Amino acid sequence: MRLELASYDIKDVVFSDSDGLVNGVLHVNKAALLDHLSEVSPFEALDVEIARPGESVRIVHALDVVEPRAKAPGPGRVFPGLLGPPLGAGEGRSLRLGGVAVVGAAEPFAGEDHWAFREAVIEMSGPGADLCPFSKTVNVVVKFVQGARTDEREKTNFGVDAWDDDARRAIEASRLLTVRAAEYLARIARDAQPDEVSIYELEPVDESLPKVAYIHHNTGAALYGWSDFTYDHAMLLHPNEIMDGALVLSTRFVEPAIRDCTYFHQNNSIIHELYDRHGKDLEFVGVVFFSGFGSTMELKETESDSAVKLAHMLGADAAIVSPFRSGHSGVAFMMVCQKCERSGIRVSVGVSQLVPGAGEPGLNHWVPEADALVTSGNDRETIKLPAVNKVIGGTDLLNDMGRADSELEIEVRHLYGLSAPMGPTRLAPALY
Amino acid sequence: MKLELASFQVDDIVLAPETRLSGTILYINEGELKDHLLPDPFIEDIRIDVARPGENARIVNAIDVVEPRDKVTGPETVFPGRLGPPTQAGSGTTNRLAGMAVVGTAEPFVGEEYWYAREAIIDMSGAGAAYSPFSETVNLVLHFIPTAGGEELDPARRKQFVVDTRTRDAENRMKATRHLTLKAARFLASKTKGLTPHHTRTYALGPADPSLPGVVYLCKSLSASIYGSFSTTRKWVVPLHPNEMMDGAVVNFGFLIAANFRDCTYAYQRNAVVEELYSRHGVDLNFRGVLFYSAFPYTLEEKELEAGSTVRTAKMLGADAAIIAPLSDGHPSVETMMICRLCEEAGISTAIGAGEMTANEGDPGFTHWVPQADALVFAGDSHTRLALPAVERVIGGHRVLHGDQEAAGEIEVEARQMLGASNPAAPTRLFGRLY
Repeated sequence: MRLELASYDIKDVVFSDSDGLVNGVLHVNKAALLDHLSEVSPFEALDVEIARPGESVRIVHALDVVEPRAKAPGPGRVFPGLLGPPLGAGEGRSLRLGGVAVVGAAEPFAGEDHWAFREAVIEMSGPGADLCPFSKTVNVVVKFVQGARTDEREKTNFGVDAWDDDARRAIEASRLLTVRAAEYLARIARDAQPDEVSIYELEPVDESLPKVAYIHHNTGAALYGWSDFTYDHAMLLHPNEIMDGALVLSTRFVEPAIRDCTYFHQNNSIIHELYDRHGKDLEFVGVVFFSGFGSTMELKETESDSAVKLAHMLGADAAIVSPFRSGHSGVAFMMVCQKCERSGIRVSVGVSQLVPGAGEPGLNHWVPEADALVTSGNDRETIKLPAVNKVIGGTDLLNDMGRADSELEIEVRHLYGLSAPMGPTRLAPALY
Repeated sequence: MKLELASFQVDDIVLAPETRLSGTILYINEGELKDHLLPDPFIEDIRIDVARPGENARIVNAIDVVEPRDKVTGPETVFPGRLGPPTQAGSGTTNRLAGMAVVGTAEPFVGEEYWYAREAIIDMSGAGAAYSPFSETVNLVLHFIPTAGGEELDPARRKQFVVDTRTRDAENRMKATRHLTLKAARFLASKTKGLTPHHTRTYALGPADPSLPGVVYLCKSLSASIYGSFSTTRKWVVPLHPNEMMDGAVVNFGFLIAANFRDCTYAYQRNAVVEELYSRHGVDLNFRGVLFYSAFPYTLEEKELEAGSTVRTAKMLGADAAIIAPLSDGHPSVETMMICRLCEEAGISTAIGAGEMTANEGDPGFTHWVPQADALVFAGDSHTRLALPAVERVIGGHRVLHGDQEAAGEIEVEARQMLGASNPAAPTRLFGRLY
């Protein structure tokens, strides 16, 4: 499987009369983009705004974040399973707009009983911006607006992502429109010369190098458009599939700080690192994609067994296991680490910490075999954010956390992408 | 993953006061076996019979066939997920009783709307014997008598064309039949403890010369559960180590498919493709694993998902070639052909093990075909009409469901009513010939 990834370094995105890429500035005809989205939109209204690094802007109610990508002219679409048949990811040639992100945003949809994790904030300047990877990208924010709500339902705050069918359809539509916008933007660059072309291919390397598998823990991804994973056996993926749009954010919104948005799958830092070192000091043998949603010990045993078995079938001597997430899947995750170590696969683990108080271990489950942990930050610190001139996405933070444009003191876990272990995060822990 | 499979040959089964294996004779105390299996909330009684190769006997209404197995070392139990926790199968030591099989039979239950595929016949001698590999095993037949009562099927649901429609009561009795067949197989094999096997074979996919072609086995399940989980909606291929499959992780489950293709548990325990690939591993090929798929995708998009995941996974495992088996009819035949095409386009050579369905002379025998499918091995035709002689003894019921015939009499059936007649993944005895 061979992927050519043609990158365009985008300095800015501006609205313009016509689409084009001029001297690194992406010109976007806003009306044409909105028309393109409206073709498949069930929403009453759509809007697009641009937020740039350094601006006194706060994006709230963010849903997915996607890097603009398109397949080179020819058959096949990017984000297969969502925009086209579920085939072709990771092969051929794809275009990417570096430095740009499409951010979907919406007030909670009718019938959506959201909980704390629904609120995701992106700060474009100030102290919050130092922590958020999407404060460094030019963000094209797509807003989804529903009509007047006729059937206000009671919000219990206790159901995790409890929706009725209307809300589910709205969330699925928002996801589809976000990737559709991302494809539209990248297609603008199709006739321009890329700044860089990278080839991704797992070519045969020196047999004596240690073989490393990436055991990718599914904490909320949709694979080829399907996100109805419950409990299942692990599967094998080629890293190119993941970086080329086979994995997108599912319809489950986990904590924004560790949310596996599509952008992180497209730019998975672990896959990049393993590719960089493939043939140098290791052999990257592939990705084991494992879901730990089983709710009984027996199911967790099967899930973890199947993941470790696949790592062995790939011939792995070592594995990176990431990302960790709390809850049921955190237990299955640690079982994977333990079973790898006990069967001769050395593991290194990427986690984020959840430390509600001093002295808390920050992990809901841990095994002694997980002795090489890389943590990417504590989600429970609080941060003061200054008032901003402009808010995109809504007027008030959810759960009564304050007016969106005001000075705020919130937990950092609401900052989008703050500590996702596979993202280009900006935190590092220090042990005292 | 290393599996020691210790074989204890069984040449005959004798009902006796004590259950034990002596030499190659398995003595079974009927009462002890029944006490092990009963009481059961859905099964009232079990009739126990022995059918030997060459006997003038016919088994009808068969559900599953299982080779007796028991774990000696390694995971807790055989048939994990069914008889115990779903711990990983395929390592440690397993004892097997070779040369015999446990056959579970039951007449249609109250509330069961069966179709043609419900009938499964094994003839122990005569012309029909050639149509079942189980005419060559010494069979312990367990005929399950369900508990009385049970909800009748709503007449509105009694449609001739619905596949395996059952009330919950009927489903529970079907599950119990399968469960107790597995349990009996484990019980019998447990009698080998402390005895010396006739031979032991080690199954491990050791390193093979990387220049040998990598081969995967694409196993399209028709009605099987993996570690107790039965999913017809799974859209992805599940990679298995061949040891898992041969050591009881995969058993017959779900609905019943035509007897000739039926993937009874025995067909996974002694899968002919796995055996062949193992025997050639490191010799002229590199056996890279089994890709197992249990889904029944109905939409084109789901079929594409399944086919795409199969090909990419095969590539990840380093496959240069793939054996695809079994190919059957209906929906699965479409996915199988898609997989064949995508494999060939991706540079993976394929060979397909198929059963033919030639309803009439001149019929191509396929529901779907692609030009890339240019290496097919046939395991026999489903529709060959057979006239089978009267027999002295019938086990498993009195009627043959197909045509409602007297089971002891001369019967007319098609090859698809014969258990295991043309499953290309099982040790079958038929083959196609071109004239």
